[in-house]
Parts: sequence; structure tokens; C-alpha cells
Amino acid sequence: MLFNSLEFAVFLPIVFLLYWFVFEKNLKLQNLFIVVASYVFYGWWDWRFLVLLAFTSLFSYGSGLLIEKYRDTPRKAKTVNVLNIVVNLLILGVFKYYDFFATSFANAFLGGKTDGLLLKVILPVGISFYTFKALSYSIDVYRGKLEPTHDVIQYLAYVGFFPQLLAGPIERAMNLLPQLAKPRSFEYEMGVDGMRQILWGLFKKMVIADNCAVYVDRIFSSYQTQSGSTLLLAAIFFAFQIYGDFSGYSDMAIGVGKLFGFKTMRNFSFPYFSRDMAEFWRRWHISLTTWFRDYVYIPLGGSRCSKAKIVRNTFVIFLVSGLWHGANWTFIAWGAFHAVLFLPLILIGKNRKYKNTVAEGRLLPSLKEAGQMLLTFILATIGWIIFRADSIGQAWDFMRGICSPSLFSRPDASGVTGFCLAIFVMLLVEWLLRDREHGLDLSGIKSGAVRIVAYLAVLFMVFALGGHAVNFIYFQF
Amino acid sequence: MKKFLLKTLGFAALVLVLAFGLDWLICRGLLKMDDYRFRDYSAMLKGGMDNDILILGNSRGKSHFDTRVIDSLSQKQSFNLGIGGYPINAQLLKYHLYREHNRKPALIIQNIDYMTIRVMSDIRHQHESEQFFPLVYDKVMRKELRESGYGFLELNMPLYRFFGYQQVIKNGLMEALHIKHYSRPSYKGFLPEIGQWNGSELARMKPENVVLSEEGKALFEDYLAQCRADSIQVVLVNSPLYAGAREKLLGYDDARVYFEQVAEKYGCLYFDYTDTPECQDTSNFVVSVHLNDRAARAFSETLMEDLKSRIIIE
Repeated sequence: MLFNSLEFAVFLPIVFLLYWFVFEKNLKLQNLFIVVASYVFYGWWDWRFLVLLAFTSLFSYGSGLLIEKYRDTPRKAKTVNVLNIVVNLLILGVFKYYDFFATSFANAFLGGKTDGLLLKVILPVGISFYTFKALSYSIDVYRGKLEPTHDVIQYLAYVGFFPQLLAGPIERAMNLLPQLAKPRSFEYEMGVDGMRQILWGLFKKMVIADNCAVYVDRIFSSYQTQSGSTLLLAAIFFAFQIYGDFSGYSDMAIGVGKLFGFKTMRNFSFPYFSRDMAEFWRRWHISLTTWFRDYVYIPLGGSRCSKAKIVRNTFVIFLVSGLWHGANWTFIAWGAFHAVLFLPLILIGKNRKYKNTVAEGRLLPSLKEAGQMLLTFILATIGWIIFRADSIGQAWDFMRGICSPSLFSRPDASGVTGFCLAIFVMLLVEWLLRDREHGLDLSGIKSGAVRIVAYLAVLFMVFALGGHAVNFIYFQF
Repeated sequence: MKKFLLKTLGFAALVLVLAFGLDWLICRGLLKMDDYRFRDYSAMLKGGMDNDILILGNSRGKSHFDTRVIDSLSQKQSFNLGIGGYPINAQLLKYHLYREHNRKPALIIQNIDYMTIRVMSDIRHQHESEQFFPLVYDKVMRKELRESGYGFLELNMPLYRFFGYQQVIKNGLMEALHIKHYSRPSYKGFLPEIGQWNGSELARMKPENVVLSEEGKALFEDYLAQCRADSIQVVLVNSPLYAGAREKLLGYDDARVYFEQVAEKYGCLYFDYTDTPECQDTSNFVVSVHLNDRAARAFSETLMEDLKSRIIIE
């Protein structure tokens, strides 16, 4: 079920009313209702994969209990933890990566013959997201950072929590389980903010991402015949498409969570206002970045080790992050590209230089800040070309096409006026509210009438500029 | 919670009221446009059209039957209700709207071809389907639209059917607010094809079965029977088609046999122009199925001569 679908527009109010008016009195029932609603939500796409979701959840739940049981025999606890990691990664590997590696193997050693080698299974939507949730739980229990829950319903609700099920944020059990364990009451301010965030997410998805998608798909499918300027425009639009698509989904997910009384983690923090790539990675897909930091990077030694190991660790985290996005060499190359950009900053110790909000307390950035943001955006956009291309060869040809003399010709900009205006509006609004959680956090505006006019304006843009619905990019991951 | 629900419902009500207003405004703007997609409908909805001859058909009907020639040679008023890209059910939807608000014609020239006798069960998101948007305000049309794929939401939820049609929304609003006037006129429904022969379309064309669906036949024959009951003379015309295209239409002769039989059964005249010398010459066509402006004029003259010779038109 898509957040921007009619089904969800019916599903959400029904679930909301039942949740607060029928099941409110009994916490167990309320959590059970979350599980049922989440499984209906997921099963709407393909009910057969509910088995996989339930298995992943129950296996990691059982692992948590066993790790607790073997607390005094660390070797056994470690075995259970490793087993949980292996089983979950095996499932992920079979469904997501097996065909990719089998094809690569066949290309390298069997002359490209893949007869009988491929599984050709459907990739279950959201598998990377809920698998990572399940992994973090057992690892945290093993590390003693989290007490395992003995309430299976609570745990099923954590892994299957429908707002985050398909494309994150990859919530930590440490944050969500305690919220599931205590009675919840509806908070007016949080509910209103949730609605605003949903609306902002809809705007970013339907107006920015869906419109950019049409242009980007057209140009990428005929890149050989396009001018350099048109290719550059398509690359820039893809940067906004993926931002609008994924951060829009995250906003909707977080907003829906708020309606049900849950404060979930932030996933995007205006990444295109970053002054260097290190800051960009602190603001982009935060839940995944911090996941890899906590469960891969730091266990490898992080940045508190020799320079050679720092280089190794940085590459490992970015390559794995690239691979997480999909089974294609382009994603691995995208990860490597970012590792190369990130490495100098960490080696000279400037990777945590910009931790505050850009131009804090000022309306406009300084010239230096503007230049830094522009450069970071350009670098990110080069990365997005690799990410979006079907192959590394296509990415290379695309970039060569941009660097051709036709870069200075007039680009094919037919039909882009409307959504260029929308991108401008988004950037302007997000710039003005860059110290807030999302672009429609208007809690600072006292006048109710002004707020209503702002909501109506956003709704009007969703209606008048909304493109034809395109699937969320991150569903494929 | 009570405050939240009340405010949410209040806001939803406000949005709904504004959406109804905006829907009405956009439709009003569209119908004001001097654009062939909407002009026919606004004229029909106004009522008072007084045409003796109506032309029905798809894009070939729209671009082959020159109402300037027909008016001039027949000394009667004609109007072309052709609807590009749609088979008989959508053609009749337009005809029914005409009949609902206007005087019945004496003669209908029905263009028939390999695309006619089939039913498009869902007319949403098809070629120029925005032309149907303003019709939800017409009682009779609501029923017809429902039968042609419009669901509850398209018919009752304001603005829903406009989603994704950015240009249509913009044009309708600009026109309604008198900011800009759009003009892509037709001449009494006739829309000539301007341009030179383009063979690439024919090269891409794959062999295709001529479909005569049972549903399409039933609808077509009901309509012919109704015309006969209403004393409206119907002439079935298979207008020129480039010979190269005809070769790619499988079962074409079966269709011609059907048209002959149905014409006889319902007392219609039947003219077939797909074997004429003009059909061999690419200079008469823009694409293989569309005559150009000059050839359409010549064809309309020929048709009028033929109708006169059969004493259909004095």
C-alpha cells in the first residue's frame, strides 16, 4: 500500500479511529492491533511475503530471549547472536543478492551462461529495512544495551510497524520498544505536527519526485542523443527526485507515526544544505548511516585506529552501504565514490567540522557557505548519476556527455517550468525552516489563518502540479 | 482528541468546499476555450444547434469530412462530432450529448473503419480524455461516463479526475480567470491534418487484426436501429486509407462484408473509398490512416457528389 494511494487514504483514518477509540484502554490489544494493521498494510502488496516478515521477526525475537538466557555463558550468547545475523543476512542475500552474484560469477567464469543458476525470485518490498531492524535488536541485546522484550506482540509491532515497514526509517528497538511498552495517549500538538509532516511529504513525493521522474526517465533512456546541458539538467533533477522521493516517504512515515503517538527517528535533515560531504552524510538517510556506524564502522575500529585501518573502515562502510541499496555494480561504485570523497575529511580530522545548522541565526549564507553548499551538491549529484545509471558504462558515458561542448547549448527544458517552480518553493521553505524538523513545521506562526492558507497552498500545489504516481524508489531496496 | 478531530474535519470540509469551487471553475474555463477538444461540448451543452447533417467517427471522421465543403455543396448546416482515438461507444457518448440538448439531424454520416466496431470499456486516461472532464455536471452524461469506466471518485470527488493533468488544470484556470485565451479551433468540428507524408508511422505499424467485437456490434446496431426509428438517414462511409496500411490489416474483407450486411439490414447507404486511386498515392496522406487537408477537401467533394447522385441530398 502506498502512502500516496487512495487505499491508504481509507486505511489510515479507519486504523486511527480504531486505535484510539476501540483499543486505547488495553495496551496489549492496542499493540496487537498495530501488528494486524501492519500485516494488512504489507499483505496488500503480496500476502505471501508475510511469512517471511513473521519468520524474521520471530527468529530475532527468539534470539533475543536466548541471548538473555545465555547471559552467563558468553560463548553461547555469541553463537545465538551470530546465528541470528547469519540467518537474516542469508534471507536477505537469497532474495536480494543471489541472482546478482550468480550473474557476475557466470559473466566472469562461465562465459555469461546462467542456465539453471538463477533463482529469479521477487524481491520482497522493504526486506532490507525490516531485516536491519531485526539485526540491530539482537546485537543490542547481545551488547547488553537493551533488555530483550518478553512480549512477542510488542516485538512484532516493532519490526512490522507499518509506517516504517516499506522504506524506513530503520528505527532502533531502543527507541521504539519502550514506547510500545507503555500506555500512549493522544497529544494534540504531536498529532497536528504529524499531519503537517504528512502533507509536506506528499508535496515532496507527488510534486517534486514524480515530476522529476518523468523527465529523468526520458533523458536517461535516450542519453546518447541528448546534449550535455540536457544531461546535466537531468542529473540535477534526479538529485531532487531521489530527495523528494525518499525524504518525502520518510516525512510521511514519521508523520503517521506521530498520529499514533510514536516519536520515531529523523531520517533527513535538509542534506542539500550541507557544507561538506561529511555533513551531507550526517543529514542524508540518517537511520541507515547511523546503523552502519554503530554496527559496522565502530566494531571495525572506527576512526580511532591506524590510518590504514581508517581507510579500510571507511571503504568498508561505504561499499556495504552502496550494496545495501541494490544488487548492481553501480551501487558499489556509488559507495566507493563517496568513500573517496569522505576519506580526505576523516584523515585530516575535519569530518565533524560542521555540526551546526548552516548560517545559524542569519537569513542568508555567507559567500563561502554558499560555495561550499554548491560544491557539496555538485559532488552529490555526480554520485547520483552513478546511482541512477543502469551500468557503470552508462554512468561514464553520461558524464562524458555532460562534459561535451553541447554543455553550453540550450537544454531540452520542455514541460519543466511547473516543477522547477516547485523545487524553488521547496528549497526556499526548507531553507527558512532549516532549524526545524521538516519543511511544514509552522508551529512558530501564531496566526491560525496564515497556517491554514499555507496548508491550502501546499495542497493546491499537490493538486495542480502533482505528477502521475510513480513508485517510491526506495521500495526496491 | 476531540479538538484534533474537530479541527481536522473542519479543515477537510473547507478543502472540500474549495475543491468543488475549483472543479467548477476549471470546467467552466475549459468549456470557454476555443479548443477543438472542448468547443464541441460547450456548443452542444448550450443547446440550440441546428444541424441537418452530423458526422460521427474517430480521428479519421474528424479529419476527413470537411464541414466547409459539406455546408457549401449541400446548402445545409453540418457539424463534425468525430472523436480522435475512440471507438463506437465513445462516439455515441458524444452523439447522445448532442441529441440530449439539440435538434435531431436529418442525416448522419458515420465514418466506419477497422477501429470502429469495438468498445473501449474505460475511457479514462486515453487520448485527449480530458475532453470528458466537464461532462460530469451533465446528468445524462454521468450515466454514460459511468458505463465507460468512470468510477464513484471521478464522478463525485471534486478534482480527482484532474490529477496528473497539469496542463489542463492550468489552461482551465487561466481561461476561467481571463488571464489567457487559448485557441486551437476546428471548423464546425472538422479538424484538418496539416503536413506532409510521414512514412515512419507506416514502417512502425505491425500487422493487426481488424476487431469486430460482439459488444461493439450490438452497440452499433442498436444505434442504427434507433436512427431508423427516429427517421434519421444514416450513411456508412469507409473513408480513404493508404493501401500500404490496408495490407497490414488482417481480416479487412470480413469487416467490409459486415458493413455491407449491416447497411442493408438497417436501410443505410454504404460507401467504401478504400479502393480508390487516391489510396495508392502517399501525397494524399499525412500518415497512412489520415488524409491531408487538400485530400480531405477533395474526398468531401466526392462524397457529396455521390450523395447527390443517390438523391440523399438535393
